[in-house]
Parts: sequence; structure tokens; C-alpha cells
Amino acid sequence: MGSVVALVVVVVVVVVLAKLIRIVPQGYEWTVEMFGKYTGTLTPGLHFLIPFVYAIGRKMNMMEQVLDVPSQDVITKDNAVVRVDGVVFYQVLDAAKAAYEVANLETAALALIMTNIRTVLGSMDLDESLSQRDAINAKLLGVVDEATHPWGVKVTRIEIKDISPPRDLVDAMARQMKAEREKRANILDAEGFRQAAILKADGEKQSAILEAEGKKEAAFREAEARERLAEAEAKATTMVSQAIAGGDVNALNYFVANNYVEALKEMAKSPNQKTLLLPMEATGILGSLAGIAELAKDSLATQQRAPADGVSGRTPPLPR
Amino acid sequence: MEQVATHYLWWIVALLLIGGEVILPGYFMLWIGIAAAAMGILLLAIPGMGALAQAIVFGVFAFVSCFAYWKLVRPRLERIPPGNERLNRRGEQLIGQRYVLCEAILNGRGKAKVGDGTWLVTGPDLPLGATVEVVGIDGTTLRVKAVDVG
Repeated sequence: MGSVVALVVVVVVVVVLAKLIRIVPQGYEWTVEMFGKYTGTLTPGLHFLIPFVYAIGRKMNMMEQVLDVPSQDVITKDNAVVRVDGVVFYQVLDAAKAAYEVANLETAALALIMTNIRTVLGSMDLDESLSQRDAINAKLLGVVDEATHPWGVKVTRIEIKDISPPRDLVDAMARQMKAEREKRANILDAEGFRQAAILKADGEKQSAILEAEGKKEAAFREAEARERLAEAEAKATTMVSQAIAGGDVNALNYFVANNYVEALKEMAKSPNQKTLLLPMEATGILGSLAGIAELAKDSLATQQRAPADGVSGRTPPLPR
Repeated sequence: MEQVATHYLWWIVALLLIGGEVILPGYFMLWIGIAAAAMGILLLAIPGMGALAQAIVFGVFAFVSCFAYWKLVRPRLERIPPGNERLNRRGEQLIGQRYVLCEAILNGRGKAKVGDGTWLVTGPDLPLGATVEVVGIDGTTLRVKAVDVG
């Protein structure tokens, strides 16, 4: 009997010691309740608690924790329905508040975050929400962190993981992008053609201008040449007239006759066999011949010779 | 119980308790086990003790060994490596750091930018963009004081 009592005593001692000694592991804090009322918090390490008076209330995890935000359908400002999910990192800083100020911390935090995601995305249109994750995260963090303060919780980070529009919208976006690029390509093509046409026209214009300038220049020079020629002829004529004025008219007659004869020779050489020479003034020619005769006479007279018969068909020798 | 010599019985209990400490970490079984081993040694020295007396002496031994650990051994064992005193105490890690207000302190409450987030701060009224130094923490709110920069 005594041994049974002894055994009971031993068991009671062990149980009481187990209740007395409390070891809180690193990363946790335990709240202490005295008859159900919160009296303090146990930090990591060894503690002695008087059994039956004090009891452990809640064991709070003080490490940073990750919560998955389940995906939900959100309607954006421009009425597109997108599926959004995310992650939240939070850490309990005040074990007592987290234990007693809120009944179910995780559920409460999740509800808060999900409703706020709807609020923030609902105020943006689809393109904005897809391109401005940072802004969304910052807005969410600001609101949620503020709201969780009374619970002794610090929300350190909220990240939107995935924003996925429905299939048909994604297809439309892809089509839009393709069309955008094709448009750019077409515009560039057209620009190229336009540039080429302009360059070509410019080249043609330049060449026409140059050609015209060349013609103009040539005409100018031709005119100049003609002028020079006329001048020369005028000069020659003047010289001839002067020579005539200062000398004998018979010299002129000689030239004219010479030219007549030359012309006749040319006519005879002409390949056109149908050429018919009809001297308009046979007398003119004869006159010129007479002029030559006169010349001959004069020259013969100067050389002290017997005069030739007045009219002959032979060509007199050239004066020296 | 009478078949086995009593001090052996205590040693068996001691081994069970110490073994249990290894399997189920609780840290108190080790000291009770040590108390039980001490009882075995005591019975070797003073045989013929009554069972109830043994139990009571064992209880006293157990308490004494636990308190001895708490008061004498633990302070020597518990050496936290330097720099780790504030492990899991995010707020306290910020004490002594300087931050810039991203919301003016009005009526003693404002916000400071810490890392890529913000913390609520309490302190003297200061304009936006002022530099503050963290002097303490209440829950999720930092206590700050103004810092003259320059």
C-alpha cells in the first residue's frame, strides 16, 4: 500500500514539475492567463509558472509568415474580369494583441487583403493593372498595414502574383499587338516608297534643269558665235567696201564671177541628176564675165602686152 | 517492486526519464531524472527507507534540482551569441536606426519609411521628410525623436 502511495506521489511530483517548468521555443511567445485573464507574455526560454493559478493562453508564432491569397475574380475599371492571386508576408509583433484583439488572425487578414485587392484593381483599368504591379502592391500594403495595426501585426509585404485576363481577352490583346506592329511595318513601307519616289522625281528634275541649262548655255554660245560670225562678215564687208572705195570695182567683179563659177561647179557635182540649172540672169553671168574681161584687159595693159579680144570664153590667167 | 533492489528501481526510473528527455524534448525530465538517480545513490548509502519517505524525498530532490538548474546552471549556459539578442523582435532591431518621415507627425502620430514599407511612429510633431531616430517600440508603433541633420 505504501509503495502505491509512493508511486502516486512520484507521478504527482512529475506532473507538477511538468506544469511548473515552461520552455518557450525560439520564434514563439506564449501568453499567460491567470484564471482566464491575460497577465503577461512568456518570451523564448525557460520559465517557472505556478500551476493551477497561471495557465498558458495562446502560443503565438512570432516569425514572419506567408499567407497565400487565393485567386479571385476582380472586375477592373473598364469592366474586364481578371483572376488575381497573391502572397502576403506578415509578422506578429505584439503577441497579446494578436492573441486577444482579433478572433481569427489569418482569416481576418485574408478577408481584408482580398477586399482591398478588389478595391485597388477596381479603380484601375486593365492595361494599368497589368503594367503597374508596384503601384498596386504599395497601395495594398499601405491600406492593409494600417488596418492590421490594432492586431499587433505588421504586414511587411504584399505581392500580386498573377493577374490573368480571360482567354479571349488575351487573344484580343495579342491580335492588337500584332496589328499594331503590322501597321508600323506598313507605314514604314509606305514611307520608304514615298522617299524613293521623291528622290527619283528630284533626280529627274535636277537632270531636266541641267539639260535645259546646257541647252541655254549652248544657245548662248551659238548666238555668240553667230554674232562673232556676223561681226567678222561685217568686218570683211567693211574691209571689202573699203578696198572697193580705195581701189577698183573690177576686183569685186572678179570675186563675184569666181563665186558664180564655184557655184556652177557645185551644181554639176550634185548627185541629184534631176537638178536643172536655169540661170535667172544669164546677162548677170555674162556681165560678170565682162567684168573679168575688163580685169584681164587692165592687167594686160599694165604688163605692156597686146590686148586680148574683148569677149572670150577662156578664163583669164589670175593676176599676180 | 520488492523483487528488485530499490536503488536499482530508482536508477531505472532515472534512465527512463533521461531517455524520455531525449525523445520528447521538454527539458524538465532531465532534472527529475537526475533527482531519481540521486535517490538511488542515497538509498545505497542509507538503505531501508520507507516508500512514502522515499517519494517525498524524491519530490524535494526534484524541485531542488530544477531550481538549482534555474538559478545556477542556466545563467552560465544561456549565452546568446552577440547580435542575436533581438532575434524574432523585428521592432527592436530598428532601435537606434534613422529613417525619413513619409508622413508628417501630426498630434504625435505619423509614418516613417523603413525599407520598402512604412511604420507608424509616435513622437514630437515634425514635417514630412524630416529625419527621425527610433528610440523604442510599442507593439507595432515606433517611438522616435527628432534628429538634427547637418
